[in-house]
Amino acid sequence: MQNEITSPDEDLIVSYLLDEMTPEEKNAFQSRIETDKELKSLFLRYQSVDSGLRKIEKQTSSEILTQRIMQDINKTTKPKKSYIPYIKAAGWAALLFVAFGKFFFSTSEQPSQANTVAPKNNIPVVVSQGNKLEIAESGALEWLHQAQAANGSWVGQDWGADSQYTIGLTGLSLLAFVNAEHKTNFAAYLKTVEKATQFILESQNADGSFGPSINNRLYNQGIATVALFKVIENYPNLVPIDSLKRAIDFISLSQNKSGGWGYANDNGNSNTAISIWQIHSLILAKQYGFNGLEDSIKANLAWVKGMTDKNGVMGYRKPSDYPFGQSGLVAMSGIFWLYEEQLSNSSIDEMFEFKLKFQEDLEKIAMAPEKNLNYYQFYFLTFSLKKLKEKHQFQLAQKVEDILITKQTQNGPQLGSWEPNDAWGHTGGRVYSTAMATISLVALK
Amino acid sequence: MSEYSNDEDVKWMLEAQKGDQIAFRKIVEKYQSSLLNFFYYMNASRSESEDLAQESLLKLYLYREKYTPTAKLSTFLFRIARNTAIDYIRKKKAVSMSFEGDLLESPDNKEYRTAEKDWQGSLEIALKKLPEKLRSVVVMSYFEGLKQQEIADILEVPLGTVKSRMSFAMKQLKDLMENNNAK
Repeated sequence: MQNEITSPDEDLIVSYLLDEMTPEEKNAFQSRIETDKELKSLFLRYQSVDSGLRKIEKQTSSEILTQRIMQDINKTTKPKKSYIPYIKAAGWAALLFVAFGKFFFSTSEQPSQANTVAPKNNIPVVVSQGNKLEIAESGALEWLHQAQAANGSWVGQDWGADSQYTIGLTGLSLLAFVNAEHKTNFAAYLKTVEKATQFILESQNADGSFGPSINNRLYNQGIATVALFKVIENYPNLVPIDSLKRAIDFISLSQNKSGGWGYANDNGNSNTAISIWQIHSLILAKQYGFNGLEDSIKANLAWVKGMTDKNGVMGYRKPSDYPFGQSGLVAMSGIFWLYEEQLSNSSIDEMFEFKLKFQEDLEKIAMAPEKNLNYYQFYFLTFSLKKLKEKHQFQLAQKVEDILITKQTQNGPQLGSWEPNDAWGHTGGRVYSTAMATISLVALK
Repeated sequence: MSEYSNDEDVKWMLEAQKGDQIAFRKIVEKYQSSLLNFFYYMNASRSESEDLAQESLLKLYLYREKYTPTAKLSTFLFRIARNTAIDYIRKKKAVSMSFEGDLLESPDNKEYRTAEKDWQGSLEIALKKLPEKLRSVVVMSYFEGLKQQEIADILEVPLGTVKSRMSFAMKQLKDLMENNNAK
């Protein structure tokens, strides 16, 4: 290496280039450069290094890294007090109360660790009598009903989530209600459905997107669109067709060349978690009678096939890519059933093979769902279980149902909800965990 | 009330101390790219850089209760990051990540060997060849936009030391590039 001693002029040049001079020093230095040719020549040599350093391409981080970090943090955060024995004991007491017809919110209970906002109006809640599943569903819907804001949304930040997810959380909650519309006392929630639908529609932008233009807006878009299609199936007057068309146009235009969908700033890369909601929207649109979506669906099916390994499991960004573990993606691989209509007869055998392989993985997850509590996973797991008709799978469904019911909050201001203490609770908060668990429970009926 | 109490970073950190994970997520979102670049241009591979950035932010979270707003949060965080890097080198010591000036021999360097053909690529190689003490001041200054006083606070050395390291680093880069061109 050359001489490591720098001259005073070199020190001045570096200070100037790094903008570490006072205005007076700067002026004096600039005057010298204009008159001192030797200094100017030396300055230009340093300046080329300086501009080269400024041009060096920076690495960009991704939402995936954020999620990994937050998952790590979530694992380190333990409740200050264990509520498990408390909930178990109170759970039995609550069930006895239910047998007599009524639950009451108690304001004296300890709030949960992260999200301590109580529902807006602590009125007594009447929960229907019936079996455990029925009781769990009723409690969940009532909690969601009371957590709804006056404008019809479920406000992310009120329940431990980021405000940017309010549209998606409203879509998930709406799905929970619409999927449960078979319930006998459902009429009480029609206003809830109407207000939530209205909120989503009012948040639609001219380009068909919903809510703010954020990096992960397609989560909001896909979930809201799926929810609106479920609403229009049951309540045709609540959703204008034009809104749905614009929502679908936005999804189609956002599709990457690969056939998948991804984060807005991910340079055209796609991932399974975002894609799954968009393709569900497109298939629902096609089933509803929208035309011109075949190419998008075919392109996505090709992408899904390309992402699937020989065991029938989709990777996150490429085959065998499991940045958040494999089990969630095994459950998400149930997306394959969405394409039944798209696959030709000759593909059905191939699909059956896939189902067999998928089934084995599904069993592993369903037999130990508590190992990795993940309400997002339960959503897709129960979607797949619903598709599997054999008796064996109903036993698996029972296992999942038991876990979900055990985890439901049995008393206190959050009665009927689920603690957001799974892998994604830090992102979606209590509305996410409760809506996902409710949809999963309803799917098991 | 310290002079940093109104910084948004400090506010988020104080909220995180109370258990607000959304506030901490904002810190993660703000600094993860800076940390990624810090480790990457300190000679870690892309995946190592992600792991080290993750580790640094996790440490920040674990230390949150000890944090008092007597300095900028970025100073506190980069001090953690630098110590994380040094711990990592000590553990790995030998091959994959050297902070002692050897060029990293990992798959990531293939692209640098290819890029050697052009001036910009050569400068990146030259930067990676600098001894750690010199490289760290360049990386913090050019990639993180930190002022020399902030770098001095992070490294816990006098301002004059940072100034002289920066001058040496720039001189070495200039000389390396000129020698390269002369070949």
